[in-house]
Amino acid sequence: MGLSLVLAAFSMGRMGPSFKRSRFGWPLGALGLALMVFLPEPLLAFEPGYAECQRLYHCRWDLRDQYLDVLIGSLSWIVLALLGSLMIIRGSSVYGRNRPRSVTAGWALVIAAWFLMSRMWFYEFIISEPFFILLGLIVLASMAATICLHVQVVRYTERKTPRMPKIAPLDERESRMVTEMIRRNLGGEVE
Amino acid sequence: MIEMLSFLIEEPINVATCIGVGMVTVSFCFLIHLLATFNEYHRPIIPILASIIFLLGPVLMLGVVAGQGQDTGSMYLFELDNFKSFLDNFKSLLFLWLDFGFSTLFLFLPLLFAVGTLQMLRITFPRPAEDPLLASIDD
Repeated sequence: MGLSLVLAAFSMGRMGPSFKRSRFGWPLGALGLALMVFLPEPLLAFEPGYAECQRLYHCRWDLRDQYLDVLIGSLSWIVLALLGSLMIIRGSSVYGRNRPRSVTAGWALVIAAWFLMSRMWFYEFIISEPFFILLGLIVLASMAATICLHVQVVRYTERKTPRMPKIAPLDERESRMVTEMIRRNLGGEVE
Repeated sequence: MIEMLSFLIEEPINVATCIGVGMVTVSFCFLIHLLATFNEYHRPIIPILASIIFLLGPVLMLGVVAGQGQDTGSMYLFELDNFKSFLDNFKSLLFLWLDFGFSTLFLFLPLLFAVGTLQMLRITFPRPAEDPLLASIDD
């Protein structure tokens, strides 16, 4: 539920200001994140102790601790990395005036992100078992192939969508109105 | 490395599970996106149907063929006693695969961050423009 809300919030936020629901992106995302962190999920059907735990909310607190550890650790370094990168970009001379303080603070955040990441047991575990990296590469390849499939489906849908009828050209009055609007916005004289 | 590859060949269910995890993760995200951004200018019926097929298909297929009680969470879905346990197991399998999918994304994020850090280094210490035209602008 929490993950679905976070994904929905991201999509809504990307819709832009012309859709009213884009305003709900941030609050919905915060709610989804709160659900992911604070609401324990019940045990899965094949996990040990599933039957005994059906009436309790959560029995395997060690698994939940691991999940929270990875989730919060990942979110921490990702937020630090994003903030740091943003400050470096804003402070660099590429996109405006050079601001050394902003760049220095940004680099401090980026280094902190790397430090946090290097302390996470999740990555230590993965590096110690290269087999998981191989499986991960297969998953990534599958994700790329599935994205291509979805793109093809969307292209097919667009091809099948009936085209709108051709609209009539502007009449004299509409032409004058458009010309006047452009003149007022851009300036200049009408010949 | 050869041992790992031979293990994958000996245990094709691992490869199939990984392919299924990728399909399910992307389709789930796409389905949520389509539902959240539903509006009068969209024609999302076919993409939604495709997402549901790509989402449910791999879970059902591997849930049927894989052995029960494995660590991957695979099980004989259709040999269960009643519909409720079928739904419970299906939900658990879907949950586990999404977990695998997002864990994989988290796993490779540091590589993306490493590339980003290199870009940050480049813009922190910009080189002088080699093009004389750009150099004249800088001056």
